[in-house]
Amino acid sequence: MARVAGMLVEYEAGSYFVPAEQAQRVVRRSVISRVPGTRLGITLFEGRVIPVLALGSAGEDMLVCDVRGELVAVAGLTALEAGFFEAAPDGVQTRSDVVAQLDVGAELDALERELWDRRHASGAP
Amino acid sequence: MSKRRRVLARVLESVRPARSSAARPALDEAVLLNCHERAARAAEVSMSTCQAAGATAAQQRTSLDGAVDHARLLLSRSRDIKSAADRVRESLDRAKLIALNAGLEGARLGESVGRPLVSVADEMRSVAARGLDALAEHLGVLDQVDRERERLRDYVEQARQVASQLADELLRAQSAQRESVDALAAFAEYLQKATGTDPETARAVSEARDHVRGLSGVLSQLPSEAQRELLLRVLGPSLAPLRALLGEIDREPRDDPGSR
Repeated sequence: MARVAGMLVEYEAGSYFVPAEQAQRVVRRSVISRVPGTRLGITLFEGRVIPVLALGSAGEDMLVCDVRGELVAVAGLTALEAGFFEAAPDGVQTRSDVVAQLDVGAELDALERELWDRRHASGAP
Repeated sequence: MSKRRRVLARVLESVRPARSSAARPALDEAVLLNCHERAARAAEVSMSTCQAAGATAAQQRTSLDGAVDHARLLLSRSRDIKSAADRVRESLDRAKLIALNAGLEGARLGESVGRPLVSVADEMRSVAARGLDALAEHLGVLDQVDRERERLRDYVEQARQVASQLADELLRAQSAQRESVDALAAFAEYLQKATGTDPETARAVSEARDHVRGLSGVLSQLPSEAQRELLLRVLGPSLAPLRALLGEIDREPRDDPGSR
């Protein structure tokens, strides 16, 4: 079976696999400026301001990902392991379990939709 | 009259009720002085015991103060250990993070090139994780020790307060004992003035009276006349001089015009 490279992360919803093409760097205890009432925030990473998508609240790690050529950080998770894993349908096979792949792009799209919905609900143009 | 004769005369008068009406007060005075002496001795012993107990309580309080100081020192040491443990945890956390990022870099390089880097990073991450687990356990034990130390400090503080109270109470007892000794000394002085009795004579009278009473008691307890005679025969050589002396004293008051 094919092996894929990436990282395992964990947050309240469970464990997920992030492919190495997306996962760039794990950082810890970063200062995140949050947009009130949303899952969105911003942070400074290597001298650049990048958006932060809060997936959970328990984890202290933040995973910086490359999503469609843009750096986006995913916060509130715990990085578990990095390396090569056996590929499985919709994810990877770990020592004990099959772990689904985290679609950061889809999460980002969902956040954008939430923000638009919020904007329309408030009556803004 | 010699002192010895005076004593014997008083004893003789005291043990013969028919003639003792005049001698009773003298004997009572002697007994009173004897009681006073015993009370004074007891008060002295009690005061010195209180002093010794007070000194012991003070030593105990000093020791407990030392124990409290050491408990505080332990708290300070415990904070130092926790601070050092925090630094170790930060370092291990950082090592773990570096291992994760190294593994990610290795994974991005591809399996053929990045495999060794991923393996080293894995090993490093697991070492850091074990270190963090051990540190958490260590801090848990340290917390338990802190709780025990807090409990110990409470107990020692309680004991210190009790020792302090005890020392105060012993001081009060000591002061009362000193007053008691002073009062007894004043009592002896006034008693001597009021009765005019020489304390030494009074002591001798009291002792002689006790001996006579003892001898009378022993003689009265012997069941048969034969036994009493046997005892008197045995004691004869010792009693003969005493009997002669008593007879001599017994005659003396009749020769003394003042006694009539």
